[in-house]
Amino acid sequence: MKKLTVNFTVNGERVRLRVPANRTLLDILREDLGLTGTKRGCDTGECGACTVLMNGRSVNSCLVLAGEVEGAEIITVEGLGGEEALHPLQEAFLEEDAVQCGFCIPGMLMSAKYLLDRNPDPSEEEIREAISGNLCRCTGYIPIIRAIKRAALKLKERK
Amino acid sequence: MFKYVNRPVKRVDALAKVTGKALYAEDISFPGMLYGAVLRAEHPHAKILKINTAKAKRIKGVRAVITADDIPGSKLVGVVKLDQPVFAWERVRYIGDGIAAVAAEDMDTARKALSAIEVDYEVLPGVFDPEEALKDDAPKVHEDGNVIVYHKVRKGDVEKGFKEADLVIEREYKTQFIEHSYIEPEAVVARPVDYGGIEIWGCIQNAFTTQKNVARVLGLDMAKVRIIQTPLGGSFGGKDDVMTVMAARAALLALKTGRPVKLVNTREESMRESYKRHPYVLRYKLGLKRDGTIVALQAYMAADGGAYASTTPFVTWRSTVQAAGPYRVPHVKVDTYGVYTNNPYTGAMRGFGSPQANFAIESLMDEAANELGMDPIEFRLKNGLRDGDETATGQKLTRHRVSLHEVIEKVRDAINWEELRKNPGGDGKIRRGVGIACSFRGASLGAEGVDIAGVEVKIDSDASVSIEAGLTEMGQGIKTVLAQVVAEELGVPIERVTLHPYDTSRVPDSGPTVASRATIVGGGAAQAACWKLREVILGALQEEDGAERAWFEDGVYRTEKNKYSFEEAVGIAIRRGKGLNAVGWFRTPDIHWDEEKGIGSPYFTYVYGAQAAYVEVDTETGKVRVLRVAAAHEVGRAINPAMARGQIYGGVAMALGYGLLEEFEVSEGIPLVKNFDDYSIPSSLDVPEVIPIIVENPDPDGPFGAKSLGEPTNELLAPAIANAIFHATGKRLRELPMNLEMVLLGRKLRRKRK
Amino acid sequence: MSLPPIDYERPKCLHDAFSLLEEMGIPMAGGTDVIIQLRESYLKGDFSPRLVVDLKDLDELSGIEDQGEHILIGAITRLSDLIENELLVHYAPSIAEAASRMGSIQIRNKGTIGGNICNAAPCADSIPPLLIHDAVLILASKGETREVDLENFLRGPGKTDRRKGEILIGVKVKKRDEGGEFFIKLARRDALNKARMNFAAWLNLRDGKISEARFAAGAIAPHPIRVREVEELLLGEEPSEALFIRAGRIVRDKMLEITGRRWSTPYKSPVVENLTARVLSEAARRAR
Repeated sequence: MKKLTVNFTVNGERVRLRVPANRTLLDILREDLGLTGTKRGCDTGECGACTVLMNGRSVNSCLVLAGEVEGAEIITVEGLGGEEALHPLQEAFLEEDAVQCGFCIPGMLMSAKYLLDRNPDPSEEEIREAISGNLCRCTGYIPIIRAIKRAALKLKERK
Repeated sequence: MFKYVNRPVKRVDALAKVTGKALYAEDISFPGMLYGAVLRAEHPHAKILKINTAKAKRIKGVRAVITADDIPGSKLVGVVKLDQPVFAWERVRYIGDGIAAVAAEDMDTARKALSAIEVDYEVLPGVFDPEEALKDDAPKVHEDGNVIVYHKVRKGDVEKGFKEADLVIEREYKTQFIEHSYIEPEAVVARPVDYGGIEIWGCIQNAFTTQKNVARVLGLDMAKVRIIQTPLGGSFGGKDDVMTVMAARAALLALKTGRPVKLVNTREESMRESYKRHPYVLRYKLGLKRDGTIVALQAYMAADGGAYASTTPFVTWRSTVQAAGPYRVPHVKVDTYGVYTNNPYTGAMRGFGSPQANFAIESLMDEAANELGMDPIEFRLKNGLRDGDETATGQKLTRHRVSLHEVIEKVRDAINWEELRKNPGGDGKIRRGVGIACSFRGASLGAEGVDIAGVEVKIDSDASVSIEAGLTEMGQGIKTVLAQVVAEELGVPIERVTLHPYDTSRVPDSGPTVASRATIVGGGAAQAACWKLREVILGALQEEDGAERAWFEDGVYRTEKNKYSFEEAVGIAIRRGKGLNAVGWFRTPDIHWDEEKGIGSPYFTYVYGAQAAYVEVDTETGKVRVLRVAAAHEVGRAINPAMARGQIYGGVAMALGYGLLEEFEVSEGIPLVKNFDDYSIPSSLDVPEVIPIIVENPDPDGPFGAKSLGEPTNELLAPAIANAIFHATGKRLRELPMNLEMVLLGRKLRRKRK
Repeated sequence: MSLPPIDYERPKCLHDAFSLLEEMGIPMAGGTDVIIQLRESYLKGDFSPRLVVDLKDLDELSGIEDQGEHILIGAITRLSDLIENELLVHYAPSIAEAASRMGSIQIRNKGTIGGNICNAAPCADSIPPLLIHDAVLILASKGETREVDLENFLRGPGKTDRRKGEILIGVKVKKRDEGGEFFIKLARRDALNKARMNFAAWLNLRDGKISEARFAAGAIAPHPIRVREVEELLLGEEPSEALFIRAGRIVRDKMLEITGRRWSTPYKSPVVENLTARVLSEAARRAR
């Protein structure tokens, strides 16, 4: 197996890595870059815990091969906002008590960001649809849906 | 008025979780760390003739290959009964048994080594049904027979009761295996430490149980086994035994290699190995008077415990003592068996024996009401327990407010019961209906065991406060609850309260975080610790002021001469050389259960809940959509109402999965489910609008009057849906899940092993 | 990481892609099936190295193009790009609808139409709507390009007529200016779920009678099928519930004929009947 050299950006920073080609983007983020905010839940694209944005689109990072990352722009939960400057989505998740165990949350946030990037004023139905690829076993989704609505309002106010 | 308690304070652990900074077990690494992998059984029941690890050991990069022969101490672990092998030797009893484990420089090498281990088996006939397993000629899963446990209730004379009855109905109900489906798969990291012991980091729900069992396996003192709990990415009762076994394996590998070892289950491994919720067969017989009075109830239950006992003895006990539901029944007879089979083993899962019993009793109550031509709510209100009544186990309910009628009435109004019963809506092929279920639930462990917890509260010299508690945060919010209690009781701003990780070397053993007990016992213990600290501080203020009297009021420390903020008061106490840490203990009030006679007071208090579901049934496909749920839960007092509502939403969603979608299908001991692609937990499109109603009737024995909530939210929706489907279609479904096939055909279709 | 050793290539032109595929390469479009399958075989203990040929840089395979009577959908067009595509929404709404019901948003952002076709799952959601649009596949290999009806391309679960070294370039679907079409997916859960069954129908009416009909169903046979017996039954008839119920029985019989009785038959038989009638009556309603 040949190693690959891949060049891409993660959360705005340029990365150049030499990795075996059987690594997934999820492996690269967690193991090579130490960005453990992105979670591993099923490795088969069924749970959404590993959702990141790749070139502006949400994808399951467990279903992205290392070679596919070449030239891509990746955004993970760590790129959404830190403690000092929370993204409105993160604030809203805190305010609506949308977090319980928290394991689905990084992926959930990225799916929510993908929604709001395209649709700043989503209906409840659209929000439900937008996070339907992210499984959560704790919250029953309801507080998460509210949080996304609230974040949309916040984003509007800031504009 | 409270400042922090009874308020929707923000979660103390959420910031780290929304920023991706929270370190879960798989996120933890140490220098020089090896990767472990476990070889599992190929048959659900077989003799192990030979295990050959020689080839695996020769693979480059492999640092250790271990089997049961490498265990220095006990080869068996268990919560109640020591019957589960860390590594199977001689015999495998279910498809998830571990045979051997490997530690290697990387995961790929570890997996290659696994496939190089040769195991010779002699396949044995297995037993895969609990009632089959009870027969004399059934294959024995363990030497001492297939009965794990038997429980009973005896009150009055049930035969006499049935004779007095005008109407007797007999029904059988069945429930299925389900998977906890925590989104975080199991993971631990073990590393040898210089005091001759081992440190284990992991998503371990009950760290003290694990500590005790790992110490036994390693032949070490418990003090040499330190478990540091990482944030749990969901548990729901599920990260107990399976984590103990995993922790023991990782510890063995780490001690063998002298290096840190990480073990992580893939989702497939998790589903194959981890324990499930018990399937039950429940046969009920109910005697009724024409006017709707219940006179006698008899129940027989057989629970599939799978290959190991796990918590089956306790799970089935709760089913037994709650078998008659929250009703006045003069004559009661309940017999419950927990049984070994060669299926995946079953254990604790949110509800703990109540979802199964409630599905039966709450379906049965609807069937009874229907037979009598009564409204299901009217029937329940007529027979439901009230203040001072005696339960089916002979316990008089006198110490707390019996809130059953209140929760039923609240739900009735919220769902618009009267109107929907008359005009449910829907047309020909699409039918609609509304149904209800209610329950009472014993809070905390009850007569399962000693029910005690300790929490340490420490005040630093800058007047910041830390809490050391052996109660598990698994999303339910216990950390926040403890911070609220401490902030309230000490008068310290909550921002200055910090909770450290649950580390067995630093916190008092508070028993398992189960049975929806954390708020009661943890809250109570934190309160007790704060009271001790307050005494110390007030003593210092009295000295300082030369005061007659010092007291704490509205968050302020007072003497008759002065008022002090927490920070000022702490400053004085420190200056005066007072030690500002304290461990508070909480013990639930005494109860008594007579297992021989099958009668007594199993729990010191109860919570009450009712849920109503408004559903739509596509009669052409069997697809059921839940349109709306109203859920009223009496909780004593809600320490954090926002989080309490969160428990309701989550519990309802999980119960919707139990009712409609989920089954961990097993065919002859072999799971047909491997990953989330064929195990459907509810998605955001499946969860309906939920109307949460919190009813507060403070309990005299809980901290601030608080009781329980986590599990009751998850034990009612399945029967409420079954009852709603009956209202919608006239079809009575007595088996879970009520999936497409069940709803359309009224019976289950079983797919076969491929 | 739990994938076998991989050599990864992302050819920039078809010619290179053909050569790589000749070296036993596994063609990968979106990868949402290929990666899962690689992982499955690895977890079963197959550690043999593979060559993955990622087709995503092949411009010839991407895009949705108006070709007059047809729409050409490039094989590596992502499912999410089908959903709101104006051509499809206008002339082939059931294809757009089916795409919107597949997997999850994340899967649709990566998965492709060509991948869904070549993976040939019996329950593939994109296929019944493609079948009612008389889909023709364009396949190319070194030195040859051929067109195959989708109907003839499918051979069984995971099996197709794609020859070694061949690449699916795109799928040509017939525009429907007239009539009405509909797609139904029945799944246990509304998101992230394989179809238990799926159906697509297109009906055209002339003078109140059915003048043209297409009907296809998935997950009732080893691969999605067009049921010509139904189409023949409908032609010249006035749409009615009774007619559509008869159609349902034909589909049921067809299913039983192909698959025999299985564990799921007692459920699928009545539901196939019901949903056939439902998809047809909705298509008829839309045709009016």
